[in-house]
Amino acid sequence: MNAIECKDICKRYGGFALEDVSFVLPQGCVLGLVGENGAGKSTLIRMMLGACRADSGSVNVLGSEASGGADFARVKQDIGVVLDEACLPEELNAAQIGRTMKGVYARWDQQAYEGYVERFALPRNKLVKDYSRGMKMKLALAAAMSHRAKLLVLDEATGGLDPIVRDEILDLFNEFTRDETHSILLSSHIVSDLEKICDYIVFLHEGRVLMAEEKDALDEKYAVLTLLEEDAAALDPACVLRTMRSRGVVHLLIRRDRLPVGMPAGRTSIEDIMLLLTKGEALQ
Amino acid sequence: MKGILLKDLLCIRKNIWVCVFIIAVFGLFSDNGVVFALFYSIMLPVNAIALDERSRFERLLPALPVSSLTYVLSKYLIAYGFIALTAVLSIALRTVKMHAFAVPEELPALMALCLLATAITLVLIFRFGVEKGRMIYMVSVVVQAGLLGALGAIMEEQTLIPLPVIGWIAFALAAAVNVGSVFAARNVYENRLLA
Repeated sequence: MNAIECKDICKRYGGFALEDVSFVLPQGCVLGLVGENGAGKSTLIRMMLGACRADSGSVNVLGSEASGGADFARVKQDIGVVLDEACLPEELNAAQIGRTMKGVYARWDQQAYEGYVERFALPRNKLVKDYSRGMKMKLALAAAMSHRAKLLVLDEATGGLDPIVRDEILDLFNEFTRDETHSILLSSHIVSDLEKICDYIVFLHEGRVLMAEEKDALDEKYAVLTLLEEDAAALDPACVLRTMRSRGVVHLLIRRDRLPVGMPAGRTSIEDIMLLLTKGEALQ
Repeated sequence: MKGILLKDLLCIRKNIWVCVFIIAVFGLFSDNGVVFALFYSIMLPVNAIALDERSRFERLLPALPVSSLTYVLSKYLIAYGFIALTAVLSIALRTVKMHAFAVPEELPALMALCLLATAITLVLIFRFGVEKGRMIYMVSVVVQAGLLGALGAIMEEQTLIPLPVIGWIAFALAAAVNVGSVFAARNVYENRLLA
């Protein structure tokens, strides 16, 4: 069973459209969803939680069709979610949040929650409204990981956090996925986080999936070259996926298997690929 | 349901103490104090929704294994709980004053009106949100107060049916309206969330 299956999702509202979005998060894996602001990442995540209806296509989460109904509410017992804001009741403290969540989740693990609160050094009796942003996000993570979830969905959950906190949190995710039945969907702009932890990367741009690949395969399959105009013009257009001109040079995204013999190409980062996919031009 | 209700009660705990204080003070010193306390009971779920909006808890709600009906119903249950509490305390205070068990004659009618106000207010608040719904709520309170005054005058004039009987009939009707209101509120809330 795949943790998440999105198939041919289309959604239009206002001036925005998701078009034919398809990807799969295999069980036991971590998928990074990358895209610029307004690409449609949060809309997709809302669909996965049954909070938004697609115009067409299907979204299956943990084997069930995502919807707002009571049946899918049972599936949500196995999903832990952290959004870009904690969105926890601000008039409560950490202890009271724990008591609330115990009444919401059937498999709430109070011991695990207390453990995370202690590990993150969160003050138990301070109201959430008096927490810093980092503390709120840690509390939200503690709640999301304390009900024996099989799937974590994180929508820009690490944005705005300092590198030390982000590193702590990524360690937590690594521990989470040691269980092969556990999966994570992580939507983020911070590509360094994705490079550390993800097995799969999906690039979303203006509502369309530009690329969905295994992370390790990205560097094997693609290369980014920076050449002068005349050198770039000499390349076979068939091997060039995207080009971007900047300050007198040309940045090219090309397939490694079509690199000209003898032309060196260093390691390719997710950030390089993302920039060229979103800002580069496809050759006609 | 348990978790959401506990969250709401913890969030509005200061408002609850104010409600209990109003009931105690007005109940002891004024026969009409129960009216104020009953209508204050409607503010409790509105405050709970307002706090959810302020902390943006509504964004997290779709992620929780809580159906829209459960979330909506929890707010109604808060109102019902405090209407019942106010009624019980009102009866207790009247009994103490009269040195014998006594139910205030106007209590069923007042509870009916509060139930009706709850039914109307919560649908409006779930439809428009607290900020936009607040103005509409204020207008509805004025209209309902006007209706109360007019109905009260008519009821006092007529002698065919005793006032408490009218009150209990009105209470039963208001309870029926509330059943419809809960499902209407669930539908408008879901449509707002899924928009």
